[in-house]
Amino acid sequence: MARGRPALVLGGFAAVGLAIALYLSANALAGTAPACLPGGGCETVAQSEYARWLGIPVALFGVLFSGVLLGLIAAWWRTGDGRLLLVGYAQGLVGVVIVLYLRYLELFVIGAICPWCVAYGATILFGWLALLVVQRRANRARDVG
Amino acid sequence: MSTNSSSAGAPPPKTPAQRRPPATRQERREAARRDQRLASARTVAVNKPGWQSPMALITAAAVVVGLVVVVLASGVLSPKATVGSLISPLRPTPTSLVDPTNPRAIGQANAPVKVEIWSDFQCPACDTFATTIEPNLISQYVATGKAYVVYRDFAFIDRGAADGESQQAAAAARCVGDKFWPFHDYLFENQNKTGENKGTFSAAFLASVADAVHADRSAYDACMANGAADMVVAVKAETAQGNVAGVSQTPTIALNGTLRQGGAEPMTTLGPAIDALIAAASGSPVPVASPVASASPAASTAP
Repeated sequence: MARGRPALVLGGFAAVGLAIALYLSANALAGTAPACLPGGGCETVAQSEYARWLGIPVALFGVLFSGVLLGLIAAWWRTGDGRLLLVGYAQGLVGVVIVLYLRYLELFVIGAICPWCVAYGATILFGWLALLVVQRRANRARDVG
Repeated sequence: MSTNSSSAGAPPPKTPAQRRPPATRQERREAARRDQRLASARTVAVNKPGWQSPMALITAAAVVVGLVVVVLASGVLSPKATVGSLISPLRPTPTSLVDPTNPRAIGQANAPVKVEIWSDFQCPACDTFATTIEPNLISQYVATGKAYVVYRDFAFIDRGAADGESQQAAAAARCVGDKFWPFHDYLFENQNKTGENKGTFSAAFLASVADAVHADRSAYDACMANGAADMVVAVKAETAQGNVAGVSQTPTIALNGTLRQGGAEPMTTLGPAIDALIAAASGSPVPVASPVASASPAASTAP
């Protein structure tokens, strides 16, 4: 199976997620509020107790998460080792569950929606769906081969 | 015998077209065994339930891991402030800086900049300001003699109910006397992160905080008797002064009497604003009741 285009799509999602997480982390560490986006709410979410986990900004976990995912995709693109794709798929699914929980917190506990966080969550969700498709295609290609 | 050649070593697999019909009895037996093995392998593959596939197992494991992380996070992220399990302030206000003439102020009263913090103990943004921004404000400007910080009550989240949590918390903070700042630190550190007016700042809870900060308990109890009626009146009066000054949300910061935009203003903008006022004062301390301050009632309400 050709890996160039799938890797580009998967890497794109992970890279965008990484960029958003880096931006939110920089704001969290500097004690500043993220730039306003339509819908607002970022300041409220960023200043809520839920913005930190064990004293560490949650966005920093996002940096780690997207960074590892990007590394896995890059390694798969270079080696073609299907196990890397499988690990990325599993990691992505863990991320989807956590992202859904964070959206729940925003909607029902904090009472504010942070568009930056929603955008990050979208990169995780759609990145995982893309991983699912690529994984299935890779499996099918292996079965046929 | 020719059968030895077929049984010794495994020949490479052949396509059906390449296969020749088994010539000997042994070859026929082996061909039959091979076909049986292939058939049984196919049957196992077909009969294996989908949930036993590696993909399904990995999916299930990933969901479980995600849920475990969520459960752990929800427990850690939402600590409940309960009586007897108070969280100690991470960055307590240095009590050495407390103004002996005004327990709700820190720093030197003749500092060039007077910073008033209009706040409600139930307000989440006030919590953010008090726990993350205020410590930097104190270390950079109060400890260095550049700013004088005064806490102001703008207790509105309980809609002014005399027994509401905003009124009672503010009253209790006044009742601990010179322990105001430690009390303030504890209240924000233990604020209910899941909502306001949910009973967190109960009388028992406030009393436990008073004990935690080593307040004079008998004086505190006497002050809080009858719903801390006297203190609630004072809290309401100060909140009314904030309203007159133009405060409409918390926290709202006033620098030398001039209100800034509401919200937990970060040091990246608050610091330069204070610096500008210091520079404007040309090194000579601005009196607490400065002309700028008197332009707003917010600055003339020192308790």
